[in-house]
Amino acid sequence: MTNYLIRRIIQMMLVVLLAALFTYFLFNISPGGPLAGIQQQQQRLTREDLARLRAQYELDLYWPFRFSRWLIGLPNGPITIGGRDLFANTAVGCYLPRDEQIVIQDGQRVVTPAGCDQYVYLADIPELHPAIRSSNGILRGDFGRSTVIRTGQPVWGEMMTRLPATLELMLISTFLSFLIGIPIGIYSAIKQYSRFDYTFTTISFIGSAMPTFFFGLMLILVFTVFPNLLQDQFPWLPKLPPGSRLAVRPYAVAEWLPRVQPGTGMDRFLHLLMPVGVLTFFYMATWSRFVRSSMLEVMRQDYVRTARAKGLVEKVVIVKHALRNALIPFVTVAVLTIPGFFSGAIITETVFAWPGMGRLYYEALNRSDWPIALAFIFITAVLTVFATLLGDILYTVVDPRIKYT
Amino acid sequence: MNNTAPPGSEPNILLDVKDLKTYFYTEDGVVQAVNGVDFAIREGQVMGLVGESGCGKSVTSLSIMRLLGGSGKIVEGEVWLRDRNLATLPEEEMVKLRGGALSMIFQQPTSCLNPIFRVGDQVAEVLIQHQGMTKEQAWNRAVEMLARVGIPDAGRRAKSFPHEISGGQAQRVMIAMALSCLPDLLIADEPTTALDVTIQAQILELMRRMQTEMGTTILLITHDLGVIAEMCDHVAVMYAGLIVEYTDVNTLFEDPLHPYTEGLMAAIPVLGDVRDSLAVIPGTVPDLINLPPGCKFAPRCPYAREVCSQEAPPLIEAKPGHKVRCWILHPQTSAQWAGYTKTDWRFTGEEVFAQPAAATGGTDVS
Amino acid sequence: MTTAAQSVTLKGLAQEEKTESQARIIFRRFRRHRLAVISLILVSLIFLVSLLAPVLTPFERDAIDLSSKSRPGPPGTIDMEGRTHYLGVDHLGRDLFTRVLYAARVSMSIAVLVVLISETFGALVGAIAGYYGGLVDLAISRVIEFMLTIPSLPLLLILSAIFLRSDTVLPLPGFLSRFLSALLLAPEREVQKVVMLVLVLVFFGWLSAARLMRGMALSLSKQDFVEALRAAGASDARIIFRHIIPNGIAPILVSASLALGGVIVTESALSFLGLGVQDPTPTWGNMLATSQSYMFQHPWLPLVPGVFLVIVSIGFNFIGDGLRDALDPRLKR
Repeated sequence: MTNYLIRRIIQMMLVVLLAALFTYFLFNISPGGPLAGIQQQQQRLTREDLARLRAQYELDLYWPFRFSRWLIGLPNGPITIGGRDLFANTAVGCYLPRDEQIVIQDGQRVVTPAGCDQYVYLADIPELHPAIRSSNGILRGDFGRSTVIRTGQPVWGEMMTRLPATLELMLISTFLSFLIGIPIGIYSAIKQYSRFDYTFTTISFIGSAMPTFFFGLMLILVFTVFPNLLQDQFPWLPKLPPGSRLAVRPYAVAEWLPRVQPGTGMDRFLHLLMPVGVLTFFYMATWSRFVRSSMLEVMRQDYVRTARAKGLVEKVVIVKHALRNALIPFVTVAVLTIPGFFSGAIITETVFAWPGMGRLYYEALNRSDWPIALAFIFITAVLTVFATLLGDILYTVVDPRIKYT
Repeated sequence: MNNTAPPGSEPNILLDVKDLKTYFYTEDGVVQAVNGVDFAIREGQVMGLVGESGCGKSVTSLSIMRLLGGSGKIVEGEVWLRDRNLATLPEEEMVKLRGGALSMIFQQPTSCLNPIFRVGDQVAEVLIQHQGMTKEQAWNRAVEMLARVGIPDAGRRAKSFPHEISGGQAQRVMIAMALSCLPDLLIADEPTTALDVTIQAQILELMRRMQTEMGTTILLITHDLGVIAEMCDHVAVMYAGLIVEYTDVNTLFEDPLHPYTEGLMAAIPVLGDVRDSLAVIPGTVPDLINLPPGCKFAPRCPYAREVCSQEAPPLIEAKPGHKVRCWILHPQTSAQWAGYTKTDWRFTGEEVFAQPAAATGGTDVS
Repeated sequence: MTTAAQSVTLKGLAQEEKTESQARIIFRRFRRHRLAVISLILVSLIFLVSLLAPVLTPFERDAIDLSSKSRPGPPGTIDMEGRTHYLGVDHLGRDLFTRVLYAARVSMSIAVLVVLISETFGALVGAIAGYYGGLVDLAISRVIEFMLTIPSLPLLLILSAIFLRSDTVLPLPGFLSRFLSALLLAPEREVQKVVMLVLVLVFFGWLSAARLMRGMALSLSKQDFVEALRAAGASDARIIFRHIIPNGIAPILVSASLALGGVIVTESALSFLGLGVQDPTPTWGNMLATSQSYMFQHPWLPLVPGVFLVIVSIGFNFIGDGLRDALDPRLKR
């Protein structure tokens, strides 16, 4: 087991490194690189402006150095050993690049090859790279600074302000979906082909096939738009707030209810209703289907027949012999929801303007705030790898057949 | 309810199955898996039920246990265990019988044990359920039982999980579990089929020993006539949901009357006999959804005449204590086969039907 | 002797009957799945309507009706020439009925293209992995495993954000570009973006087909007949294309049908988030996105593309489910 764990953790680190390389690669093939967002804001730029901007985002460094600085924050200057700076004069980038030029000289076309007018040397890094561009590296928990959404502010700080909203949304809907979905799945499997089973398999089927954004819009239509439009005819219809996490000013849900003050528990609750509804429905569909099929699979097994042949009553057969086995795959798959607690639900958060991680990511992509987008992807990847490992370890705990060596 | 003898009329009969019909209701139609089976087992006997896979022998045993699952139903017939008709017994009563008076072991011993519980606990569970023992009592008794069925170092082995023991040992565990409450009837459904040949012999040996020690009545289901010869007192041969021949084991091997039994016998590989391929009776078991009219074996029978495909033969007592379901031996029709010779069942590949051989080879049965 | 001959011929006949009735059994089983049949009818109808889009509507896709007083305008708005906007006009005054039909065409075409490419590619990769085994298989299945564990939506979004923003021109051959332009009823410059989106979707689309085919190929390659074929000198390519891939067609068909629904939803989601097909090319997703800003006054706006989207996405899932039941009743859900 220890050997296995060590091996898995090494593998995990490799995967994380690959994930980092991949995200960084994405970053670099993106059109205009990280400058895209800024160029959208500021149009005409001189060569010097551009150079300065490039330097701000370290685009003047050659990519291996850039990647290494992004990942671990090194090199951050010359290597000092015994008071002597080594490699201080190694060129690590180009501040003012020169494109290939064709000049007519004495009636002849002379091609000046692309090159560099001003190099960046290792010794330059500390002074040329002021606060905004320096990062201690993503592996040390420094995700750099936002370029567009909160220009100049640390990405981590911005994410931390969004995380509570996402955690709230995801924890509640995941919990509810387990609470509803698992019993439905079990009962459907026990009563296979019954009316209950048909009804709920069809509902779950629709739940997992239905696009969440449309379902979300429908909820807004039913609980916000129609009550508002029909206010004169049906003044008693309750109106739910269509988006965001908290209200700014007091509002009325329905005439027969007291006005809701912003920031109160009732306010939070009302804002949660629709996004939680969408996500719970969607996850519940997935989990009830999963539990049902794994339960059905187990009910077919010979040992369930043995349990019956032993003279155990049906309840014991199901709870003790079938359910325990059916929940083995469930437990290992359920831990895969962990990355979601960080990354949130991109679509649902967008539909309901929920100020969480998913929406932050959506904004970052739409406004080309690459440091935020990359940090999001990177952390999600790390959490996914971690959750997979956790799932494998849990397997050994719940299933005596699995032993890793 | 045809010719129902009141239960208890023959005191030493333990299990009396009468005209049992079990159907499965599937999307593609009604599968008539068991189509009117009659047999009885005397106390202390070992009765064999033999036939190809899909002939309904396993369904017969599951019907007796009432473990058919969702789509299977006993549609007709009676299953008397002493004075109780299992076919109509309420489920609460049935639960008390299963694992107690009536127990069963299966073909795949390893997959029959729950992978997440220790084998000792699985044996103990029956004792807790039926004899009201405490956990500790039951565990001790379970270890005792495990030792009795020949598991070495039973105390330690009882703590193993099913995947840690071999198939043969798993079957021993299953036997221990089945016998721990001293059942009246043990149903063994292909108990050795999934095991290695040497282990097979050991398990059969164990079953015979336990049978003599405990006097358990056994219904042994198998497709292997070798197992039948070794273990059984009486044998019923099943085909397409019906019993086609029923007699004691010696008579069956010396004088098989039904053509199907004949084929089965011929299909036993004889040591030193060189064949191109392993013998099988050509053709397949009929589709149990659309059963042919007449004798179900007629399409594969080398002796089949017109009558065979028109009307189903009844089970008649052709010789004392020897029942058979075949028109050849029925007094009304046997004349049609006057002077026929027995087939030389040579199997030379699947396409070729067993052919009636030249008169010299056969035995006259008229 | 005659018995023998007869039985042989009978057997031959029986086999023919069996294969013939196989198709009928599949059809009968499919017909029993009522929701699948209803879905098939509805989806075919939408498909047909999208094919006939230019014939069914008098309006141009992007034509702006300047006469309509309110934009968006409600269903039944009549323009200056007396033509009716059956489903109203959008915020720019474009006919919604026309746009939703063209959107059907775009969404369906994207889905079909993505599924066609990914299932073919996936089947091929899976067959190669399963057939050759060893290191090839190890490498391929690790990649598949890994890609299946990562949450695909964030990556899809970042990929489309990167590729759809770039001005890189894909080197599409002229005939392909013209063909796609005719298929999507969209100008060739819009085709570029659609092709990028298709490629991005294929990036995650081939996995399940590959996994299915790999399993199939793995078990087939161990069977005697493949051994015999190899001994008889059949080339690997021949064995893969003639024997392994045809064997996996049934499950691939089921997965393709389910994938069609999935791709339509994914594409709509990307377009809804502004990272898929962009206006003026209409898709259900971007129509829903624009409708979101106007739905508080004009609640029918999201319903128009939404109803199509829901029917098609749920419909394809039911069809796939029905197909699975029909092709392999053991896999019944």
